[in-house]
Amino acid sequence: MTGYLVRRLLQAVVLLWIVTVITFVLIHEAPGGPAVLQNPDLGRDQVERFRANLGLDAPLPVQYARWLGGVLRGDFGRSYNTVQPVLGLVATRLPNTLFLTGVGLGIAIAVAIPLGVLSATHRNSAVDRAVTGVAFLGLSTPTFWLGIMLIVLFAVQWRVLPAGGMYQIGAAFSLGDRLRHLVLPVFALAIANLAEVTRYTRSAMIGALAEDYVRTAHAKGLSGRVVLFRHALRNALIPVITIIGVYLPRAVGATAVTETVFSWPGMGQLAVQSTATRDYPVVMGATLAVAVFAVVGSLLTDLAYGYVDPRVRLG
Amino acid sequence: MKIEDVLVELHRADVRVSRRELIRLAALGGAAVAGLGETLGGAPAADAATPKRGGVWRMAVPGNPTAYPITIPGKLVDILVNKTIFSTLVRYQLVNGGIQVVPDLAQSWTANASLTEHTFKLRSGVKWHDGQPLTADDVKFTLDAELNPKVNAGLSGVVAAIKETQVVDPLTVKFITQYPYASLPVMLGYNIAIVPKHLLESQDLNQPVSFIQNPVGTGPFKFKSFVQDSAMEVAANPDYWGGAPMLDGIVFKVIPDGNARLAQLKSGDIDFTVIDPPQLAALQGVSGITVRRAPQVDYYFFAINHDLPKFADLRVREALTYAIDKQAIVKNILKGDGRPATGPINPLLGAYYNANVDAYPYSMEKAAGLLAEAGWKKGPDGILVNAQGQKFTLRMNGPKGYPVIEQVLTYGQQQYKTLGFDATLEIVDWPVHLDMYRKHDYDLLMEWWITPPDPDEYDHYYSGSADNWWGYKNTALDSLLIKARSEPDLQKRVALYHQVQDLIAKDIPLVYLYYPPELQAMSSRTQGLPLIGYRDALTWMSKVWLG
Repeated sequence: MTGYLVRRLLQAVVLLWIVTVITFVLIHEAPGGPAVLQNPDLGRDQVERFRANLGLDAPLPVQYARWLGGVLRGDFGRSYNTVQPVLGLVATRLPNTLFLTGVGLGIAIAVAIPLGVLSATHRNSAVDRAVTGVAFLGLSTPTFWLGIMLIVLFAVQWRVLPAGGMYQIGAAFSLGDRLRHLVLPVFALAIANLAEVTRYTRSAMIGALAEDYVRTAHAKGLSGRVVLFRHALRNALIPVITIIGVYLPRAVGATAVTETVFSWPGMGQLAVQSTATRDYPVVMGATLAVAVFAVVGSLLTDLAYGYVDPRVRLG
Repeated sequence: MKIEDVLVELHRADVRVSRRELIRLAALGGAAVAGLGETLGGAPAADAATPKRGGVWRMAVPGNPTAYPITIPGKLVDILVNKTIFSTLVRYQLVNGGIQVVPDLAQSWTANASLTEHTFKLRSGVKWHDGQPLTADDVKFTLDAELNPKVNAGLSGVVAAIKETQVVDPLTVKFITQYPYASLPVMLGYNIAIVPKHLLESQDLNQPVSFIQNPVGTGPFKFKSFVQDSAMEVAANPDYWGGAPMLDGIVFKVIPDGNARLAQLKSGDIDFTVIDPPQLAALQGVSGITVRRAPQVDYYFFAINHDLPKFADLRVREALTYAIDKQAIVKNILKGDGRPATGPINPLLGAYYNANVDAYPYSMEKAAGLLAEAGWKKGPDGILVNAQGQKFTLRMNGPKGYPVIEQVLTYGQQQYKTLGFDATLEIVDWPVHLDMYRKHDYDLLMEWWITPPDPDEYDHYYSGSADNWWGYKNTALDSLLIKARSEPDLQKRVALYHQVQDLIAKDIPLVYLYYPPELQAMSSRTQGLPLIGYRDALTWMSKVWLG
């Protein structure tokens, strides 16, 4: 087990290094420069001068070496746009995103797995059709559209919930206020995840229920409930865990749409804005953070397999 | 200066002059109307109700602001917050339809006869938010920083005329310009916010880490807090020289998405946002929201890439202009808000504006005829070809995410296709758009300028100017531009700028499209916000109150 972990961690370091090289090249090769240069008022001479002042006139490998040197010393640089340290930016955004997606994913899982099981055990019934229908609808509804619709209805039309942000600006901290701001983005986020997890659970359950060991368990005279949860569900969960494992990095990166629509100050918004403004140090920091989550996510997934399925022996 | 005195006297005596006459006088006084701010009232037209103190006003900003006026992106978002925390030497006010330069940190200013030395007298008793007094040293420090080649000062071009800044005494500062320059006072009001020397002299001016965490200015509001991607808050400065603000504070809410801004305005979460014409319909008949058209010194255009030989023939450029129905654009795309453009000088510049230039009234027949004369005939596939068999391709570039620009470009593409151009659209992300602009990688490109309220067009039109992104060259115009900006006599300067516009209209460096107002959507409780572009309205925030 320890050997396995060490091997995986070494692989992870190499993987992360490759990610930084690719990201560095891509973002620096993307047309247009940092925001300070994205100003039509600048003359040709100013553009040249600013690039030199930012060190962007050096060859790309030299710039990368400078960046990597800083990172190895624990210095991720400062945002071109706000002069805040990149590490601080990521550290303040990451919890916001994890909180949002954690709650969203938690709700999605809590609802989706029972729904998937229900759907599988009542295959082709009205219940099943209703669940798969709703799941299909949830899968095919674009998050930005759903988000805007939620805002239009709950914040504009009925004025029962805030249209965006994480809390009432200027007001003292209150749990109720935080929760009110959480409702709409979590709902928008949960709908998409819920649909996906439901469908995976359903198909995995259907597969598991047809297995010989389920029939054997029934033949042994075990109660339907025990068979369903101890034998079928436990095996059906493996592909479901894979999906949830994939969500982990996505949870950090791919909530960009939800965060933008609901003005939620998270990692997704940070990544989108820093890319649009070519804030190179922030793009690098944000990408690295998401990559770390992807690596950790897949590691945790693999470890979880071992837990749900004793046949998987890591070593 | 005589005309300014006349204008001040007219106001003091409350003499009624015709609007047209006043605009003429105002524009002639244009650059240097000293001591007028107090007379005309720092406050915009008073509202019927009695102003109330207290409350927080919330406006949307599209991205993260940084309260530091020298570098950082120096983009719109930063400019907006800087207006409330920092002050400029002079600021702008709309008076009878013309934009006036009125005192802010400077109380008065004079220039020598040859317009090479401009002396500014500072208001006494102005204090930084940390209690230190504002002095001429701060002004010199600011201008030196703007013009330091090692500092990425995005607005340095605005004050590039300054050769040297001298401190005469603690409240007097003198600018020596590189050439006679009438426009200096106007330029100093264009986002050149004064920063405190005592807090910045020991810092890296490109990344003043501790200053940005706690910015200090002389404006009506003090920095309070900033949460990335959430909001910046500023609080009233009770010691503001113009009197304590009516509001307790302002919140600049970061809302990157245009639809989200609109939704938050409708739900009452914000008090102010600027909108695009396509969003107007969504606000029709919504109670509690006022939409205003604020005058703004600007013009929108199709840039022509003059590096390309196919545009060298004036008849081609004429055809490109005749083919665009500017009236129709204003009516259908801008929903009636705006007016067709005749050149780079906006009518808000009053007497400087020359309405009597070639306007190229819409005519597809003329456009087609001119192209035929220039040797471009439609081939069998309907595409224009010249004698060498080259097709006339027209790559039309514009930034993504600007609905009006996309509509105007699409309209232009249809018009040009009808004439036989092989017109294609390249709507790309802003940084890419700007990159292609700078590399002259376009045929036509839609852009706009929002400029200081000044007629000097040197930066954009002078042949060798670093800011001339169109490769445009015209030696006759070059000498006229130099002559006009150096002319000390106001009447003669106005006449020279009329010639400039005449020449530009004849030679067609760009396809001029329209002068739009800024559409401001705000909560009805917002009171006392002057009707002027929001960059400038925000310099008057001490007078704004909540009804």
